[in-house]
Amino acid sequence: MSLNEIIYKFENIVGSSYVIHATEDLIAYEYDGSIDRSLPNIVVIPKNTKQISEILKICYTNQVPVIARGAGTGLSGGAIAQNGGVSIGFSRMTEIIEIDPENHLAIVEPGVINSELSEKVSEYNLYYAPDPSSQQVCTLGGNIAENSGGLHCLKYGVTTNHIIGMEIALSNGDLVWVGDKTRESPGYDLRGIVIGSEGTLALATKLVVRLLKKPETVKTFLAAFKSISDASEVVSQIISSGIIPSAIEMMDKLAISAVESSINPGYPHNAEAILLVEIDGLHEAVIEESKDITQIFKQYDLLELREAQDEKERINLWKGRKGVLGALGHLAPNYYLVDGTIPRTKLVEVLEKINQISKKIKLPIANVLHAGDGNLHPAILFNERNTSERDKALEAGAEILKICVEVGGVLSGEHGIGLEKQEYMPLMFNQSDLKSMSNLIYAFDSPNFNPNKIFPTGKKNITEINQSGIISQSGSEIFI
Amino acid sequence: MSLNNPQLQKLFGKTGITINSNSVSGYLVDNQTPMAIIYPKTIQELSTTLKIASENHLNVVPSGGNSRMNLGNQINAIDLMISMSNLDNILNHNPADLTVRVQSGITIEKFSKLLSQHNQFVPIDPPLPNIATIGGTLAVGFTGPLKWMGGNLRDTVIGMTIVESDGTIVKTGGNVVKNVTGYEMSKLHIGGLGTLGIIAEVAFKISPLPHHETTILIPVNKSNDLSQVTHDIFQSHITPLSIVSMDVSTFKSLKIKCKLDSKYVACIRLGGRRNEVQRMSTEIKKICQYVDDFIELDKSNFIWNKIANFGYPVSPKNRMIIRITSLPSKTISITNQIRKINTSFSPVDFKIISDHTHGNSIILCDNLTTSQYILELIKEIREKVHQYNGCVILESIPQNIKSQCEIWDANPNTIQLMGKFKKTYDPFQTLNPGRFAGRI
Ligand SMILES: Cc1cc2nc3c(=O)[nH]c(=O)nc-3n(C[C@H](O)[C@H](O)[C@H](O)COP(=O)(O)OP(=O)(O)OC[C@H]3O[C@@H](n4cnc5c(N)ncnc54)[C@H](O)[C@@H]3O)c2cc1C
Ligand SMILES: Cc1cc2nc3c(=O)[nH]c(=O)nc-3n(C[C@H](O)[C@H](O)[C@H](O)COP(=O)(O)OP(=O)(O)OC[C@H]3O[C@@H](n4cnc5c(N)ncnc54)[C@H](O)[C@@H]3O)c2cc1C
Repeated sequence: MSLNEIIYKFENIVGSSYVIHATEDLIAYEYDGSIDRSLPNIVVIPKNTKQISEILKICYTNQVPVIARGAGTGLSGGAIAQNGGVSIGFSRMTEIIEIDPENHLAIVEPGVINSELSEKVSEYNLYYAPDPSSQQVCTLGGNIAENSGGLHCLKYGVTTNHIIGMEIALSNGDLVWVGDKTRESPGYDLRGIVIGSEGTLALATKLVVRLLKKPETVKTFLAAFKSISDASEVVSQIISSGIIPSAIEMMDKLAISAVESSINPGYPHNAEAILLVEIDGLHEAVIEESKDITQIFKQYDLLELREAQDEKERINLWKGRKGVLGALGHLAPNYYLVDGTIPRTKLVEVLEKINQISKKIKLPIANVLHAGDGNLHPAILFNERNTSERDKALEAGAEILKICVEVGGVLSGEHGIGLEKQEYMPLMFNQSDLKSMSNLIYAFDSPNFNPNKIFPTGKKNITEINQSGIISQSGSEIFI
Repeated sequence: MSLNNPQLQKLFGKTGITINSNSVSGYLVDNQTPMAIIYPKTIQELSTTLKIASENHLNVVPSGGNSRMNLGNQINAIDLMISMSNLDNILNHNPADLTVRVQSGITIEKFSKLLSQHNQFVPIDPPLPNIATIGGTLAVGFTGPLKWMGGNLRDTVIGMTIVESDGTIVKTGGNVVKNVTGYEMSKLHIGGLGTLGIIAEVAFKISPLPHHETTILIPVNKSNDLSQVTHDIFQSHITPLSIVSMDVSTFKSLKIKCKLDSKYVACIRLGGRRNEVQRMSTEIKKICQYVDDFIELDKSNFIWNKIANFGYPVSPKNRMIIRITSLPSKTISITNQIRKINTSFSPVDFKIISDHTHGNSIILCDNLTTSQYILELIKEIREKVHQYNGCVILESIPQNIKSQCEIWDANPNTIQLMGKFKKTYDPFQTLNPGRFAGRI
């Protein structure tokens, strides 16, 4: 079937206004949060599951690549059509189909924006827990594909812990329910397999999400440290003391100075590192836990320990953390944001190694961490126009990921592999591991779904690999 | 089967792997005896065993503590049983990181003991913890009547090593709590009943034990009140660890030393800081103002152990265990309907425990008579449950009716897709052939 014939068929399914194929119109779909760029041949925006099914049938028969697209905020190139093909946009599938407050559930379409769901269920005193920093824009479908985390996943878990069932569309257009509204459904946990599969196995078309009761009390602390190793130690101490805060975030001196010069949340200028620690739950628990946490803090020579006195102050404390990526733009034209996870007890060691790398390559690295999970986000600052700086930044990123794996960690904590890290997969997995994983593509018969991602091609060299991780521009509301 | 016993002995003799073909009679699976039991001591030996088995088209049953071997559809054939009992080491426990990695043959008891020394736990509470293994429990994948609020078994696994049907050793996930590197292959094996591979090692994310625990028993006389109590507590802003209910005859059968005069009882397990638990307990009394009696038990682990062991050990001849999953809001209506079945048949002795946070009920049926009658009973239970969009798993049924009914309620669409997984990961039907949903 020719491209024009496919376009014609799609127009019959969804109407011509929802099939985009003129180059100038396709440009809006050529990128995501990474800097990879590539045009799909067609963008089609279905309204419902039936239309998706019909579209997929055509793509399957013609073996056309299918790339699902949520909000395009992914940071590993997942929504990029690097070999052309059909991009399926979910921007019209935004219905909240059912809210079942009694069973703490909702059924939603995948185009629903993450934060909108929490707003909609708020009247029942419920919320949807996974809160990626991009939650004001990213879609639940994208969250599923990346198994996204968020600030509060330390206590509440990531996307897979909150999706109990899905309707999925297979490559041949068949629709299948994997899991349902009940918590245990028979058979292999295909729900769990599809979540985190970056749009390569099946498309999520309806989601059954678990909702949580809003916590009664929330307390937020800011602790400012004289050394980054003290801050790291405190993280381990809190975790091993048997307290699971809802969030423990860390920022180092460079990150602090960036936000202080632009957003000015009032973090101590002279701190080598700060921690933001939030605890929530029943009032009594929060009071006791905050006493214990304060005790831990007091064992260290802190520059400052501040507890947010009211909601306004709490929001202000978080504002700095939220604005950090945008603020980094004030320090350098570009940065490469690395994402990896390490065992929490290795924070001191790894942050020191990152510091040495920074010295070696003579480029500043700002550290912003979901410290409680051991999820690192070092941002390597550089100027893209200076190719030597750029190459050094990319190599440093690779080196950091290698260190993560060496200390028992992993290549990605929340942004996924996509195009960005596919060549690094052999650092963690051998041929048999990768073969077993890629066998899923055969089991799902989905070679045309988001092809040539996740798995190493062995073709790219290191300076090509990382480009997708570089974000040159970010808004002030950005929160990673 | 393509090999006889001497051939088998010869094959394994060469490898040095322990093989026992003498005392196999105690290891029945669906009334069939394996030719031999293999005891691998290392993952490498496990891999070699599976390689030999698949190359010779032998049928293999992985075995943990053998406590749930009767779960599943009638097995097509069995040649070898692979016992994981020698693979029971703790590989790495990092208390400060809240992670642990173990070999899958470790018993739940040994595992829990290790963690509790550090005031930690993983929310796994299967029956018979002294024999049940991590591997078997994950392969079965039920969260059971006793679970901690919010904790689902599958959510605690962060990594695995699996040996696939052809002997390939495969690693998935890692040892850290947050990870999106590649597909989460462990999900295929949790609840996969050992049909796609053998779980060899598991890494868990662990949780701190609550500082303090209390159980509140709320006796009520009307089913409507029970409904109200469980509903009101589930909806309130407190989060108990478990909300479970049963009728008094079930309660009595657990032999818990506590006198109850009511018809039903709700058991609420509370955990946390002492003040927090106290506050929850006060709140419960406030929420359930219409109840006049509350029994509060400070040392209450024994109750939950009894609830976890409900129905076990099974003697499948005259007992049937059925597991139902539904929406939490429907559990009481469903169990009420099921209790009514009692009257239209000759007497069935139903004992039911329901969990109101996840919406499961475990039903024990005793005094079963003819096969015809059991089959009709199952049909009737299924009908009732399906009316409420719930689903049924026949956890333990008499052997003689196994060939006549399907253990799981899976829909045909899903079964078809599942079949493709079996074909991909176990093309020769080496592992547990025929036992899983849809006789996969
Ligand atoms: C400023 C900023 C902050 C961020 N913060 C976080 C954070 O805190 N935590 C975190 O985990 N991530 C974070 N991210 C990354 C990103 O927002 C998440 O990965 C998000 O889930 C992507 O959602 P999306 O709708 O934008 O998906 P897209 O980028 O459009 O797509 C992502 C992937 O999902 C697939 N996909 C989309 N819809 C479907 C569907 N219905 N079915 C199957 N596959 C589908 C696509 O094919 C693609 O592979 C951040 C990104 C930015 C730009
Ligand atoms: C009423 C009831 C309540 C339950 N409640 C709970 C609960 O609260 N919490 C909970 O966690 N569990 C619960 N379970 C699950 C349960 O107890 C497990 O089935 C049990 O722990 C099995 O352990 P085992 O080692 O004896 O397995 P076995 O009986 O040896 O094996 C069970 C199955 O798993 C397969 N298998 C065994 N080991 C492996 C392996 N390493 N790799 C792959 N496959 C393997 C076997 O082939 C067999 O099919 C409940 C079950 C029942 C019936």
